[in-house]
Amino acid sequence: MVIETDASKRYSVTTPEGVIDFFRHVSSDVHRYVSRLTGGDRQLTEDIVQDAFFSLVRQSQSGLLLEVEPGWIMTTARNRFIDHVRSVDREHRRLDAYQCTFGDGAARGWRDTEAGVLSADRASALLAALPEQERWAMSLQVVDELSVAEVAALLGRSVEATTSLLARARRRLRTIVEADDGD
Amino acid sequence: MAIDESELFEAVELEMSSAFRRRLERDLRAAASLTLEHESGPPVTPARVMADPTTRRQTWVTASAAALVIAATVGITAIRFHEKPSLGRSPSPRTVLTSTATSPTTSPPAPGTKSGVPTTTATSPIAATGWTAVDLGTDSVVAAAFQQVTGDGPLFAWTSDLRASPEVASELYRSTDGTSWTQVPIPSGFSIVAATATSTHVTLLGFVLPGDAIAAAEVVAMLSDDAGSTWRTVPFDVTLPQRKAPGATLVRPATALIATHGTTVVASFSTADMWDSAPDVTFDSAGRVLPVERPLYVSVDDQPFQTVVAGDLPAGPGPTVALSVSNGQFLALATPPSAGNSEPAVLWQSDDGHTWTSLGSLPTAVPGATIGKIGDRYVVVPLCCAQSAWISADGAQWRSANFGDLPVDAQPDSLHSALAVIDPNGITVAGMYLATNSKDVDYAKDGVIERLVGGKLSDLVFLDQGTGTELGRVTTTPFDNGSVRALGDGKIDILDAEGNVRTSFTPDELTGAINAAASNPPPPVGVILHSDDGDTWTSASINAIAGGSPTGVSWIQSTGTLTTVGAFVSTESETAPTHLVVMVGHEHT
Repeated sequence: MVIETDASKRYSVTTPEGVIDFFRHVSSDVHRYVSRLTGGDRQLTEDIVQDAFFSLVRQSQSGLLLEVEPGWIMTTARNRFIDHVRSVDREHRRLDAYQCTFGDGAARGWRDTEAGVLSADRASALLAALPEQERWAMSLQVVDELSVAEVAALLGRSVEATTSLLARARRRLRTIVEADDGD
Repeated sequence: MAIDESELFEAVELEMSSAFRRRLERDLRAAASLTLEHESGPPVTPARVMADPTTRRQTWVTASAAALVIAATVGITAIRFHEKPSLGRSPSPRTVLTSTATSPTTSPPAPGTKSGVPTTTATSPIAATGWTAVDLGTDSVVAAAFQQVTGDGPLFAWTSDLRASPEVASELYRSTDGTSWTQVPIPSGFSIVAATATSTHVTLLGFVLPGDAIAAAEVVAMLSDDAGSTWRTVPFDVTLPQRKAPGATLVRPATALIATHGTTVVASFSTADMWDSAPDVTFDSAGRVLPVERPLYVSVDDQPFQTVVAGDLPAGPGPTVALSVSNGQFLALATPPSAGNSEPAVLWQSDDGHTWTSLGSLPTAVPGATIGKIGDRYVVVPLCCAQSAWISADGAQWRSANFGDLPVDAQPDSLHSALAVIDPNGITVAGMYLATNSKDVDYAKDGVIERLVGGKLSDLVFLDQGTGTELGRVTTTPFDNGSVRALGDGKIDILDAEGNVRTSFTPDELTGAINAAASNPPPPVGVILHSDDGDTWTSASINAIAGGSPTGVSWIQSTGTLTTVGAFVSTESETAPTHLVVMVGHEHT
């Protein structure tokens, strides 16, 4: 994860001006970071970013959060992302409707990829080909450079299940790419 | 072709859109302004809370409270500490807060209180019920952090001076009249997060810090059947994550809801980790991760709290945003577990706290609310940003009950910090309208003035700074009159006679101008609204009763014989800019 702002700088958030100053300095980086986690889902990214900053306000009003570093909001945003992943995961299990979108329009997007060049649209299409749980587990591992055990702990899954989830994601991606290369 | 996974995720990175940035900055400013302006005040509600409704206060009343009527007098008395309260197991109250005035109708303002406080009858109908303003001042921990206790009374309030330390314990106070408050001892080291009081029970939800500095905080409820003389502890079947290093991080209940009926207690709470990276998680007694969605817990006859499991609550409650008891039944309002920020909340009902039935969904999302019943009708009062309450006969079909005419210049959908009491005879709501800054905002650049008419982004007039000549007025895009060109991308070009771009105004400049103007907004308008039936509303001005503009509404309580509203009110004093003012409304006799 790359934070372009000074990660060690502490911002006072005891006043509205302080909150806004902090927002202006770090919001772009937070947005970029979250967008990677979500695989380029703009709506979800905005929801998480918004929630993270409102969490900042809530904690400030509790009186416990007087100063904050950029890492705090990054972590909070990631936690909100994990909350979302867990929530969706539970819903999927409840509905037993684990739908796989593999092989549809997303694959066509990958076929348009020129060798060695990966556009945002094509990357989005490829990631969209993964079921949400696979995509999000993979994003935590790749974007945050977490181990499988760490991803498992964050998602509330066993290490074995998470390993399987990540393997399925990579197998699915490889299948799409190989299909494209064969065309 | 090989897949570079890092490249894959880097490629989907998105820049924040200008529209989203502006909207979020505006909303954050509004929320922060409401919550942070008074540094010594208690937390109040953000102007807008989205997915995680962890900040809210609510109240409910299960019985009584007749219509509020009668002639009013408004006076100011001063409350002062005779002795600094102390924690511990003292068998008797240690601190008494006493009014310095015996009659609110005749006493002069106490030293230090704001002059010019109205002492005559307010004009609005509900004010005629007899609202008395009591200034608790700013020089005590009580005034700094008095927090709401829900239920139908007697009157309790609690405080935790969290600013001193996140680990500080709480204090509990009791009052018979809303003007004098007496400390009630609670077990040492117990920090309150939520509390409810009925005629027979006082129940506190909170946590106890362990002796081991890195162990987890213990979530417990404290119950008393004798108004706080003795307490017993009921544990939860959850364990919070431990701190990672001594003193490094405290994971503790952050906000909570609690309701009691008989010997059954239903509770819900969220956790917060104030500095570290641990997510909002709790674990059950088997070590399994519990949902982060604040499940419901139930305890009967002092047995340990158990999680209400999915089998009893088929679709899962989701984040609980309101909880109460009405007509002997528990009511919970919860956002569906898988919902995003805007899914309608679902109303649940239970006779025993264990088995819950879904009655239906509200037409809209509510991040926080007060729920109750008037007779057989369900009522929901949103915590924030609403213009009406919701009423339903069956919990499935809802109609809006408009709060009535808004104060002049108030934003039409902006009743903030809306705390409510709902009982069989009516609804009483205390909240704040944010006044609209209707002044024009000017921003000059390169000899051109950009004027936001009425402070609105949707009505822009461009003037030549030298001559005052109007160059164009943009209310919709695309717009192009040869002098001003707005193509709809946020940027507005000013053209010279030859059609060349003379200068351009960017969205950031517009936002900056708005922010500059917003830094000095008109004071909020506080109101106390009441309706017997949800259809006809009357209102009283907190500004008039308390003698100043409110910066936050801190609680509303009703015992059936009196209703109290607590609000922070700004003053002109630089050393004590806000005071906590309690407004006491007496029932008509």
